[in-house]
Amino acid sequence: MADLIEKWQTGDMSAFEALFQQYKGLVFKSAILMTGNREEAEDVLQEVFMTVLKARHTFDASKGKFSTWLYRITVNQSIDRYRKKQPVSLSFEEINLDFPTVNYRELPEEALVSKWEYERLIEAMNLLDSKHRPVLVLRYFNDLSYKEIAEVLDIPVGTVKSRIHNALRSLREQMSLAMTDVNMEGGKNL
Amino acid sequence: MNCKDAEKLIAAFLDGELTDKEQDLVREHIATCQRCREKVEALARTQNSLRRVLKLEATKYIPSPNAWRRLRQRITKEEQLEVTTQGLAGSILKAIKSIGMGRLISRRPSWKAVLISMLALALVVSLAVTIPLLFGQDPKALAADITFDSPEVQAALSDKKLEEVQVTDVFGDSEHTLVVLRVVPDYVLIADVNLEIKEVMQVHVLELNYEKKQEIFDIAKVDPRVQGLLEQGAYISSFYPVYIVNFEEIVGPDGEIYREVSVEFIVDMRMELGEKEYLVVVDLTRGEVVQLIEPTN
Repeated sequence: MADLIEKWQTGDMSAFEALFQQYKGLVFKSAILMTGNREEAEDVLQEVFMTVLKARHTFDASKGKFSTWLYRITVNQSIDRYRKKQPVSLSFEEINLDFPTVNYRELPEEALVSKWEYERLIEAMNLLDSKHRPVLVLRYFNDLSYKEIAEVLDIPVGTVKSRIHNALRSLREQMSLAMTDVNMEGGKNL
Repeated sequence: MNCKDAEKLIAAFLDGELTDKEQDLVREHIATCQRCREKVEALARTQNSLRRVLKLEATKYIPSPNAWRRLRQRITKEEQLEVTTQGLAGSILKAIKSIGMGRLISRRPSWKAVLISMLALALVVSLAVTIPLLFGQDPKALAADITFDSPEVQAALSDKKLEEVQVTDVFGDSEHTLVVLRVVPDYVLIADVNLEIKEVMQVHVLELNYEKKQEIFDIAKVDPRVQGLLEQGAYISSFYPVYIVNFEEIVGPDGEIYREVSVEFIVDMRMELGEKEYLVVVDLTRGEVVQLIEPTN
């Protein structure tokens, strides 16, 4: 990897392509979870690697991991797009987040989530602002530690802690509200 | 530790991100506070569900199979635009020096004035850089010049807006310099230029108009894999032209080695089925599907 980084920084295109192929999935999936939009994520992927190429001289391997640097660029590109979006509608067609067409009988048990819970969590994520959504993605999808998240976002660890706390609280509040609506509907039917 | 302080630390506690002392304090508190213990259990469920949902959600999406190619072309275009702008600006400056501005405009076909005006700003900006080029023309810029001056190319571009024509690649040697012109997204023209005699030897064109797309679809749907996708409800979302240039060295009757160049066009046809994307590669020369790339996680 160190060899690849060195070659990329000298402008070696095959090394750059190798980095692209290695990280494109991660960048793309992180971007889609942060923007909630496939087209935006495709654009983020392009912009991230254009930046990786043009700004290659600014990366200093002695000061941090390549992946941390890459995450930072990805988050910045995603946040810019997420901020510019209109308020997100709760229509699944508009946000292109249909329920996955997987066979639940074939999934390991830990992967199972009820459809209701799935939809409510996605809805709740879409209500988060550009400060809170990325920290949840970095922690619960990318499995970064709080310290790593702090490095990516260039904020103190304490701020990471409070953002995660607030973001999760917001999700739980949204889920509770949704559960209340379900209960009230059930009551009406009686 | 009181409930208010404990609550702020629950997420970090579950994530294992507290100091040893903080962990102990929270553990001691929830051992004696049922309300906070229930909050820990509820938050743990939320965290676990969130992990599953995000990972499940991410598995639905993969980057477009064209992502690298699109990036590479953008890089090439930006590099080429830099070279072409400087080179063309240099050649225009040279012409201006030798024949004067007024005769430059009338000398060239009027449509070329559009291209020149586009470069006016670049001329001002790149003047200091292009002055050295006045003493020797960049071969890529020369090839581009010859291409645009060619009657055959002018005829091929006659229904195109010149400001949309981009030089996206120039490569080869002095006998065969390939100049690639694109009108994004559906038109490719490749001119085979001989720099030694300063002529366009051959022009290859692919235009993805309606009739051509229909022809491509007719070729593709014969393939059983494509048929299978269509039967499942897949639809075609885009076509993208790709060119392949083959350089072949042959030995002539006189024992000399000659280079021959051939150009093939293939088309990337993207098909979408639900959230999945398939890439169907259609070879127009062979008239068949040569590859079908399925999405991978």
